[in-house]
Amino acid sequence: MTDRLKGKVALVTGAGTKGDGIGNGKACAILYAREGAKVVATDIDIDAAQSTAEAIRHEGGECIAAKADVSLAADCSAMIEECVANFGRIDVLHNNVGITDSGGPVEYSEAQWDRMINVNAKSVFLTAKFALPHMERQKSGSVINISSINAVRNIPFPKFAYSASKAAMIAMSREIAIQYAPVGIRSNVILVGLIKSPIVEQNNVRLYGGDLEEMWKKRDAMCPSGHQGEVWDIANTSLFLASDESRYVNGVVLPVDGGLINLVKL
Amino acid sequence: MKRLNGRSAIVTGAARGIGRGIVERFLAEGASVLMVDILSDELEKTARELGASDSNLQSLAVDLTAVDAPTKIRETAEKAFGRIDILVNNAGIGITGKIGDFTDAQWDKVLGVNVTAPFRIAREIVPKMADQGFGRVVNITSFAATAGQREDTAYAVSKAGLEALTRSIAVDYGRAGITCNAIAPGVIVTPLSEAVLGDLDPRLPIVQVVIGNRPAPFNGAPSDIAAAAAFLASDDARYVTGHVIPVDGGAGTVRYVPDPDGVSMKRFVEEDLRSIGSRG
Repeated sequence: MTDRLKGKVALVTGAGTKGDGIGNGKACAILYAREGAKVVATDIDIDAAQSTAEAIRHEGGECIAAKADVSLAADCSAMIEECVANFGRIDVLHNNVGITDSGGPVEYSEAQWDRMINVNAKSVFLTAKFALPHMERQKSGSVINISSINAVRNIPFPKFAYSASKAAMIAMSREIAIQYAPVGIRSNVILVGLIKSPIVEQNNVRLYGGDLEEMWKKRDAMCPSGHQGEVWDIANTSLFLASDESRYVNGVVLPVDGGLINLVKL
Repeated sequence: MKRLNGRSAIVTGAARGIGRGIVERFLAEGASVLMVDILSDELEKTARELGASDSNLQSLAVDLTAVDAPTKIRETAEKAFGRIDILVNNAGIGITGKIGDFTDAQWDKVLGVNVTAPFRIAREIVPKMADQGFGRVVNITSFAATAGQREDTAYAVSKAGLEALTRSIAVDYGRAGITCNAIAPGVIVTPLSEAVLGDLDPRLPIVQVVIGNRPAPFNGAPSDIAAAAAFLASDDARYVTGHVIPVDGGAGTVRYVPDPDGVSMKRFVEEDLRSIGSRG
């Protein structure tokens, strides 16, 4: 355990992982705690959030779990108030929550569209709405928005509402970055590339004909790096953006994709 | 935590400013560093001031545009450290002017130092990195690569070229375990930028654009670029390749020139919000 986030308080949304694996949110929460941050792990599934909090406490870190559906203003307000009530401040707002789905405009139902936009995009508005006043009082804060390479490229299946929601995160992050820079708050985006994560295993395997090993092999082959990333790659980059080492990095869109979006052809 | 323990690095343009900042950070992270610069006196002075042992810090005074410079750099680093893990192409020069003002010699000089030299040094070293299955290349570009600035022709072209070179190396050598990224600094306070900007009237449009257009409430320091370089050189960034990270206090996201009287953006925003009654 080192101290790149010593004295900081980080709130991570979607910090639980369904099942036994470690997803992006859980990895970030664990790494933040390892680096000295006090962590609030929130998830719509309180059991999953609890299991992340237990993993952190097991390592000697400090973490509380909270249940939150980030598409609801009341939940966003409550989780941030709980964070501040427990730890006195909020230094890192890590917007990790995301759901995914495939299909084009014809295939999507209006209800699917609304849910995708509410969970992935409206949540950034709502978490920012309640976290920024605290950060403004502190005169410091780092907002980290976990978007996707789908925000800027179509790879490789139609994901109409998903891509739209992830692109919206970029614009919101930029707005926050500019409006709040003068008071010492930064906001940046990570574009997540192909990652060997539990959620991908659960959701995407049918797109590859149901063969998991075949899916991993095909995804490895797509990357200029020759391999997919791991959830810790997202966590390590998030750590840089959360720490004061990136104090002059603001409004940035940073792909963590092994160079994938540089390729014109897959 | 030392994130570059056991790594050896080459930093060009290392004698002062951003390059020196990168050297200091790399040493603090546990790396051995070969400092390369054309300014031999400054190089010696910096080496003395950094006070590291010979086994951790070496310097080489060389003109990067010399035909034998890449070989000399590689041989010096290999002799000193046995291998090369990290290459930082930081050295850069600028000559201002519109294309009508530029001579061929001036153009060649800017492109020679800023693009051709990084290409030739990478050509010398990247295949060696590929043989060992590990390498990190970090190119220092500029916000000028993507944003138009007045009378900055050759510099902007050279930095855009360096960004393209960054992507090419990343895509071609990714499978060999090499990552290649660029950092695009915004306003960074160095002896050079202070000399250029310090004497200018702060109300001049150029100063407004360069300094006033940065949302961060402070100017960047070489240590800010060094922090990003250390991240890219470390294992933390093993899945980050082919990209440009702006370290500019958000300047790249802004597209207007603030009021010359220094009215803060925050106040603009607050007035806007009041007028539409949407706050709270």
